[in-house]
Amino acid sequence: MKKSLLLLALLMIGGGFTWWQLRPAPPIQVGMIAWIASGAVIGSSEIHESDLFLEEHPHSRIRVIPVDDEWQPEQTAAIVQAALAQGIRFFISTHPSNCAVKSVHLFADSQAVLINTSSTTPVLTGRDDGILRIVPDVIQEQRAIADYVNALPGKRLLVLQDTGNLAYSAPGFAAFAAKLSTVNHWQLEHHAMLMSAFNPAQERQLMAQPFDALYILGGSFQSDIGNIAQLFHYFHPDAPIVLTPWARSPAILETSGDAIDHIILVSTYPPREVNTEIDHYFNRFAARFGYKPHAMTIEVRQALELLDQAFALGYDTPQAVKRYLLSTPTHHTSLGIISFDRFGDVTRPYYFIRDLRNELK
Amino acid sequence: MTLPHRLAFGRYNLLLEAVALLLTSIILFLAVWFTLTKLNQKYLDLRLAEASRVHLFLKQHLNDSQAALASFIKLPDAERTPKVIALFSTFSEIYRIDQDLRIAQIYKAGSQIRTFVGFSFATSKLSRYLAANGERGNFSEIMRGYEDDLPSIYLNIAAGDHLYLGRLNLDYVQNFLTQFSGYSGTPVLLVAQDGFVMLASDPTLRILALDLKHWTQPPSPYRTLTAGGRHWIPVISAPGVLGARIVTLIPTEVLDTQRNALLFFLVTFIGVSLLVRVFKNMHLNRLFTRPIATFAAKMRDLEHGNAIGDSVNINYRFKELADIDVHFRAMAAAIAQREQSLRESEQKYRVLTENIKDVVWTLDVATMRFLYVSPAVEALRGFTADEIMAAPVDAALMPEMGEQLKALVRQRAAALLVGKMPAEHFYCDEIEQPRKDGTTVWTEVVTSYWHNELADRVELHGVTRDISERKRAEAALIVAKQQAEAANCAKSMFLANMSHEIRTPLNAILGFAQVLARDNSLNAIQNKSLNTILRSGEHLLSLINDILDMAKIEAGRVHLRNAPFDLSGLLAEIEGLFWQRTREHNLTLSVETAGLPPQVLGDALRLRQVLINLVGNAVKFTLVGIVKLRVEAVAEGFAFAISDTGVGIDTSELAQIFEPFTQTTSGQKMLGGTGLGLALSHQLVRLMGGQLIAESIPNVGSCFSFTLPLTAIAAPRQPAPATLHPVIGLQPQQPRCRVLIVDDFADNREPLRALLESLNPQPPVLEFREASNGQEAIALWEVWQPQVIFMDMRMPVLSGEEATRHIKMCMAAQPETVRSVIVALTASALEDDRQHILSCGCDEFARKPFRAEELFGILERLTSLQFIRAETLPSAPILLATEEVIARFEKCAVTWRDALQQAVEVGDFDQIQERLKSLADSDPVLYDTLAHWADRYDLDVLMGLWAADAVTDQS
Repeated sequence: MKKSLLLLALLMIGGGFTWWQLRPAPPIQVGMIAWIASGAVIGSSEIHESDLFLEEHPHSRIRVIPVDDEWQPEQTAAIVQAALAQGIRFFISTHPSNCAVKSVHLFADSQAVLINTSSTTPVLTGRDDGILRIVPDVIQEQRAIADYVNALPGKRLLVLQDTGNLAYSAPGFAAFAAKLSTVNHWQLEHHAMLMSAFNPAQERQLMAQPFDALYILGGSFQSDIGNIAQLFHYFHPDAPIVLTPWARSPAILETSGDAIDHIILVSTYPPREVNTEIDHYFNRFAARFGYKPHAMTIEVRQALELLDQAFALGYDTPQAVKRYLLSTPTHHTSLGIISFDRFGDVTRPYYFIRDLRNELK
Repeated sequence: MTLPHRLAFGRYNLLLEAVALLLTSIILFLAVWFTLTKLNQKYLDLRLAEASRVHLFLKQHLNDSQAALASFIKLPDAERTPKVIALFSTFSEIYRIDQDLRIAQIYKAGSQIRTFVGFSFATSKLSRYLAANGERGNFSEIMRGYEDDLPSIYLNIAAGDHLYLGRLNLDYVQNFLTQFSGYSGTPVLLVAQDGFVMLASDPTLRILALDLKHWTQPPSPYRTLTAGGRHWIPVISAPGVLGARIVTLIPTEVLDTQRNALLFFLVTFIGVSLLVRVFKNMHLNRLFTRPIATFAAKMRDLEHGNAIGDSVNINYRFKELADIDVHFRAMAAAIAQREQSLRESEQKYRVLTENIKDVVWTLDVATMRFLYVSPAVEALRGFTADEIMAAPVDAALMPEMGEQLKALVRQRAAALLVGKMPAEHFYCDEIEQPRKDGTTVWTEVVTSYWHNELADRVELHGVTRDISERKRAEAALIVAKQQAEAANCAKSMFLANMSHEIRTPLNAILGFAQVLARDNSLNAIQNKSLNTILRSGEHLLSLINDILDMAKIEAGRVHLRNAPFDLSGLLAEIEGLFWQRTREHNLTLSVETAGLPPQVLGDALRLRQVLINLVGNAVKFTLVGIVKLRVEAVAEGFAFAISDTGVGIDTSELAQIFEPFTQTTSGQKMLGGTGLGLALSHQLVRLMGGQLIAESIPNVGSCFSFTLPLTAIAAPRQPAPATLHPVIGLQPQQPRCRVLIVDDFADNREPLRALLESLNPQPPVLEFREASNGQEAIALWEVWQPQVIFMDMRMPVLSGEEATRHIKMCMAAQPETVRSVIVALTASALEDDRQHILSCGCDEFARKPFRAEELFGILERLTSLQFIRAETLPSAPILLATEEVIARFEKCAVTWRDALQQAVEVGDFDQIQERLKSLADSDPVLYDTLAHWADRYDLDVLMGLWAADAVTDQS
C-alpha cells in the first residue's frame, strides 16, 4: 500500500514536472492600434490580418487586442494609456503621423514596444525609445518622390497637400519642395486642402488651370484621392499624377477611373507582378475575407512576424524584444527583410509603380 | 491481519445518497440542458425566419425603385424639371452614363457628393455591374458609394444609347431596419458580401464588419459576439437579392434568463434533496446505526472476553434490532461454552504434543516458517522450539536438500489446492536433519497438508520421529541381503559349473552305454547291466536337472516359453507315461478334463515337468485306490488338481513340503526322491502365474491343485506326432559323409564316434576325424571339408563358438567350399546358452549327455544322410499285476525275500539287482516285473511287497 502511494506520488511529481517543462508558453497580448471601427478596409484589414496570421501560426504566443483610437489624435494617447494600464506591453500601430506624435511620450522609457507601420513623421526619427518603425520617414520618402518628379517633363506642377495630417504632410511638403528646388525646372503650384472634405465643385477651377503634372500629398488613407485624381485627369488627360504610398489601396485606385493609367504610385514594395510573395499574400487575404486589404497590412504582417520570432526565442519583455530586434542585423519575414538602425528606424528603396491596373487584379 | 480502512455505515450511506443525488442531478441537468438547447435552437430558428422577412421588404422596395427609375427614364427631357425629379425620392442620385462608364449628366445629386460630370466608374467595382447588368436592370450589390463613402445600392437601366444609373436612397431601408428592430427587440444588420456592415438598426453598437466565414455554423447560444457591452448571438440569414445578409443580433440575456431559471431550479432541487437526505441519515443513524455500533462494541467486549452487559435499559425502536440483541446474547453464551470446551481440548492437545517423544510441528507453506514446534525437538536436534521457530525452515534441513524439499512441499501444497490430493492424504518421508552439535539424525516425517481458509494459507502439519536405529538396521539388512544375493549367485554359478562338470563324464557314460545298447551281441545279463548303467545315468541326469532347475529359479534365470500347445495332448501323454506304472501298482489312473480348448498358450515343457512330478508323487504314495488328474477351464484360466487316495500328509508337515530337500515322514519311509520335486513344482507353478496348494488328510489322501492363467487359443487341434521307430543303421551306398568331432575330452569324442560308427554300413558311409580344440577344427575343416561337425563349445585354445563363427565366415566368403552342418554339443544346462550358441552360427544344438535318437534326428533333418529304422517299436517287458507279483513273490524263498527286503529298505539298488538276478531263470516274468521296478528306482512299489504282509499280519 505504502509502495503504491509512493509510486503514485512519484508519478504525479514526474507528470507535473513534465507538464511544467512541456506546458505551452503563456500568450502575450499585442495591442493593435488602428481605426478598428472605420467601417471600411481600414481597421478591418489590420484585425483580419491578425486573424489570418494566427490561423497560419496556430502555435504563436501572440494574442491581438484591438486598440481603437479611430485615428483621432486627441484620443490616441488616452487609448494607448488605457491599454498599457491593462498590461499590454507590445503594440502595432497603423495610425497616421498626427496620432503617432501624440503618443510618442508613452514609449519614451522603452517599458513598452510599439512597431509603427505607417507614421513617417520625422518626429519619430532618431529616437531611442520603445517605438520601432518599419517604414522610412517622410523626409526619405519625399526626397525620393521629388527626385522622381524632377525627372518628369513639364513646367507646372500642382501639389495638393492634405491638411488632415499636417504632422506628415507639412514636413513632407517641405522636404519635397526643397529637393524639387534643387533641379528647379518645375513651377510649383502649392494648394493645401482637407482631402477628406473634397468637393469637386470647389476644386474645379483650380484643376482647370494648365498643369503638366499633379502630386497629391495625401497624408492619410482616404478614397477621395481617387476622386481628386479623376477630376485632375478630366482636365488634363495626359498629365501624370503622383500619389504617396498611402494611396496603395484598392479602394483609392478603384475610384480613380481612367486616371489610373496616368497615376504613378510611390511604394516601398515592388509591384505585385514582381513580388510574388506579396501577390500571394493579397490573394490569400482576399480568399479568406472576401475583400482586398490596403497595403499597410503588409507592414502589419511583418510586425506580427517580428514579434512572433522574438517571442518564440523566449524574449517576452519589452526590453528583451527591443534588444533582440535592434541587435539582429537583418530580420527575414515572409514578405521581405527588415533591417533596423540603432534607433529602430529603417531605410528602404522606393518603387514607382505605373501599371496600377495590375495592382487591382 | 490488518483490516482495510472501512467507512462508518452512516457516512457510507450518506455517500451513496450523495452519489445517487449527484447522478440524479446530472441526469436532470442533462435533461434541462437538452431541453434548453432545443428551445434555444427553436427560438433562434424562429428569429432566423423573421430575418427573411427583411429580405422580402428589401425586395419589394427594390422593385418599387426599379419601377420609379423606369418611369424617370420614360420622362421627356422637358419634363425632368427639378420639381419633378425631386419627386423621385427613392434615389439620392440619378446619372446618365456614357459608353465609357463616365457620368455624362447628373439629374439628381446630393450636396456633398464627390462625383462630377466626367467621373469614370471604369476601374470601380461598379464597372462590372454596369457592363453586365445594364439590360436586365438588376441592382448592384450594396457597397460604399463613390459619392460619399456611404452604403449604396445602384440601379442601372439601359435606354437606347444611354445608361441611367440611380443610387438608391437607403434612408427608407435604414428606417425600416430601425423600426423592425424596435418591433422585434433585436438589433438588425445588413451585411455586404465582404462582411462589412452597411446598415445597422442600432449604429451605437459599432459593429462594422463580420467575419462571415467564422460565422458559417448555425447560430448557437455558445457562439456570441460582444458589442455595446453586451453579448449577442448573431443569427445570419442566407444572402438576399443584393447578396447581402440580414444579421439579427439576439441578446443572450433572454436565453441566459431561461438558463439561470432552470439552473436555479436545479440547484434548489439539489440543495433541498441534499438537506432531506442529511436529515434522513441523521435520523437513521440515531435509530439504526448507533445501535449497531453498540452491538459492535459488545462484540469487541466479547472478543476481549469482557462481560457484554445488560440490555434491559436499551429501548430498541425496531423489532429486528431487539431480535439481534436477544440472539447475540444467546450466541455469546454459546461462544463462552465452546471456548471452555476449546480450552480443555487445547490443553489435552498441548499435553499430548508436548509430552510425546515425537516432534509435532506446523509450518506455513507460503512463508516457510514454523508456526508451532513441540518441545520434543530439543531432544531430537538440540535446538529449542523457539530457536527452530525463529529460524527459516532451511535451518531444519541439510543444506544440499533445502531447496529440493521446499520445492516438494510447495508442489504438494499446490496438489492440495487444485484438488489432486485429498486433505486427508498423509506423506511419509525419511529425512536426514542436522543437529545443533553438528551431527545429523535420520528422521521419519509424516505430514499432511491443510488449507486454512480462515488464514488463507496452506499449513503443513507433521510429526517427526527419530529413526536412527531403524536406519542402522536397514543398512545392516541391505548389507546382509547383498551378501545373500552374492552367495546365492555364487551357489548358482557353482551349481551350473557342477552341472557342466558332472554332465561331461556322464556324457561318456551314457554315450558309451547307448553305443553298447545298440550292440546285439550282448547277452541278457550284459543287457541288464547296460540298462542299469543307462537308468542310473538317466536318474543322475534327472537329479542334476532338478537341482539345476532349483538353482536357476533361485537365481531368477528361468525363462518360460510362451507358445501354443495342445493341453489335451499333454494330458494324454502324462496318462500314457503313468498308465503302465499305475497298472503295475494296481491303481486306477483317471484323467478328467472339462472345457479344454484345442490349444493354449504357455510353457508346455514346464507344465509337463510339474504334472509328471505331481502325478508321480501321487502314484508313489498311493498303495490302493485311484490317482486322479483333473483339468478344467475356469474363469482365471485352467485349474489343475492331482488327487490320490494315498497315505496322505500330516497337517504339521504340510507347511514344509514345498521347502527344497524336505521330505515328509511318509516320504522318508519310502526312501525315495531328493525332496526337490515338490519344491521345484511349487516354484514352477509360481513362475507360471499360479500357486500350488496342498491339501491332505492322513490315510485318506492328498490333493495338489493349482490354477494357471493359460490363454485359450481357438486353433485346430494338432495331430499327435508320429512315433519314430529307432534307428538301426545307415542306408548303404550313400554318398560319403565326413564327420568331424571336436571336443577337448577324448572321453566325449569317443562315445559319439562309436555311436555313429555303429551305424556305418559296409562300405562305410561316414568318415571321422577328431579335433581337441577350435583351432584344430578350423585347420581340419580347411583341408578335409567335413559335411558335419559336432562342436563342443567350451574348449581350450579356441572355443567352439569362435571356431564356428570362423568356419561360417569362411563358408560365406568361399562359396565353393562345403556347406558344413555344425551341431553344437554342450554340457551347459542353461537355456540362455541355446540362443547364444545358435546365434553364433551353429545349425543345431544338443546337450550333453547326448541322446542318440536326438542326434540321429538332427542328422536326418539337416543332412542328406538316410537312416534305417526298425520295423517295430521295441517291445515293453511283460509286467505282472501287483496282486500277481505278490502271489508269486510269496512263493519265493523266505531267506531270499528277507535279503531282498533288507536291500530294499536301505535303498541299495545294486543289492536289489543282485538278488533279483537269481529269479531270472526260475521266474523270468516275475524277474522282469521286479527288475523293471528296480530299474526305475521305484522303492515305493517294491516296499509294497512287504506292506501286503503287514496288512495280512494285522488282519
